[in-house]
Amino acid sequence: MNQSHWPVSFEALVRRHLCLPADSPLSPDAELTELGLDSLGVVALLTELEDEFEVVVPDDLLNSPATETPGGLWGLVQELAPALSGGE
Amino acid sequence: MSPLRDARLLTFQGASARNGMVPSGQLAAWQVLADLEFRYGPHLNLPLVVDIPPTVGDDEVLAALRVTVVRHEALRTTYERDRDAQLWAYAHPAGSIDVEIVLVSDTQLSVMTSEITARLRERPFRCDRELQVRAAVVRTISGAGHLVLVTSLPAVDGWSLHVLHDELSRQLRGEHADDEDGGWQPLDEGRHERSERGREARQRALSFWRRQLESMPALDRSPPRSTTAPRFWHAAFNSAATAHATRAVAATYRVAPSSVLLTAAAHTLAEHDGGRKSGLFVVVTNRNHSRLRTTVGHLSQPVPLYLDLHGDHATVLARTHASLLAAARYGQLDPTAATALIEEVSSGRSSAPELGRTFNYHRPTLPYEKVTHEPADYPALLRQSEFGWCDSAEAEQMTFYMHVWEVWPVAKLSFWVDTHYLSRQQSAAFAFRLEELLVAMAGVDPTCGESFGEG
Repeated sequence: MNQSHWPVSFEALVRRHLCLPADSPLSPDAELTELGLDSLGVVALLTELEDEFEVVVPDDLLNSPATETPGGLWGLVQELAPALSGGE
Repeated sequence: MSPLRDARLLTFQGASARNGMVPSGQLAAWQVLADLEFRYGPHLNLPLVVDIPPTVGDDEVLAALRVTVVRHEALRTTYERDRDAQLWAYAHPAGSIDVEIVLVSDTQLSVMTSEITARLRERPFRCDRELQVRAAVVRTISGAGHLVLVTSLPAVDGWSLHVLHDELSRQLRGEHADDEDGGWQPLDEGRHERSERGREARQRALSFWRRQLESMPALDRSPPRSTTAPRFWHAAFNSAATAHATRAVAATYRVAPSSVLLTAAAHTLAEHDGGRKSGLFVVVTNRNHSRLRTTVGHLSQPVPLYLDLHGDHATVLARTHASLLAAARYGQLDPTAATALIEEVSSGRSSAPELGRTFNYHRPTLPYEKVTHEPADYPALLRQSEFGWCDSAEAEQMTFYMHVWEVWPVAKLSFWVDTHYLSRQQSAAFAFRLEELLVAMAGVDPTCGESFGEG
């Protein structure tokens, strides 16, 4: 996935949770744990994504492989809110 | 030398003036405190001591405190009930705080700080007419000193003390606070909770509570009450072996350190209770939310979590981890709705679910450093473990409370234990058994299917 496929608001929200310099690109395939986000942090991020994109992430997806990378997260958000599939 | 005392008045103005109904977390804390009011003790006023560098003068200390009071509405709030008994918060735009300044010799610093802290704590806050913070400065003739704060528990809890400590420390080192208005305040959270999105989220939280409570068995054991002696003892346990073993188990089974500690604690309690399942009342890290992490007053609310300890290590840890993550999203619930739910669930039982056991995990602000060395020398680490009693208290409504302050590089755990449930001797044994279990788990080959022993 190319990072331009996701909205600016998505990337800004994800970056707030990461130890990533502002001038470093956020790769869709980057491991979130490698960027300093633990599993409880992922839940917090998902909660904020729910608020931002008005979706509800089922409990059984909180620990799914989709939550391991930014690309996976954006795919999850799109899946839960099909109207977002075209991006911004 | 005799202490030299001075009095200063810290004034602030130009802050935001707002009012509104309090968020669920504050309401829950308020209700708990109302139940305890007849036995109100100074331990419900929380102290905080911040080191003052020798080069920082009193005016700079007061300036830093002024910035913090303005940033955090909870510190300049009073609370009142309206005619319908609803609890309202009033954030004041201006006000003043008396600050005693005491000059002592270097050798008197510690004693004087303790004395002043005790004095500031001993009087209950009058929440309808008093700001929620008291302050004093203790200085030595060499320049170093302590800024002493005491805060009111309905407004500021233990987690929030870390926010205040970090913020004031940074300011006293010459760093600026993140932003002047402090961000998302408790009144913002209260309004959000009452919005349509907020109501939907609370409904999902209520469903989660129901699922957990309905699966949670009532415990046989109901601690007897006593009014003749302190029931609750506070103990601290510092253990590098626990830290290394927890991190090792977490890495092996790809779960969070909090899940490892919760599983081990639940199993150790289950051993004591003679069973293999345990319902724990979990204070979930609801303030993981970035909008809540940097502002005080967002009090945590426990979320019930039923843990099933049947199975091998991998299975139980994975199940606990999944449960903990699910619970972590449901931080706050209207305590009135929670109470009604508990009563409803209890009506079909011979006894109410045991909800007096708490696991409170303080998630680090920064990620854990990577462990790059070889597996630790556990026998050497075990010799460094320290268990100590701190103080006792009478007025609490819990059975067992385990607070994980830090996990790495030394696990720092606090326990508040009802000694009718675990005696002081059993409590110490619990801590060392927890450590022993974790070390054993760290030494197990994950492919061998090792399971938790019979309780």
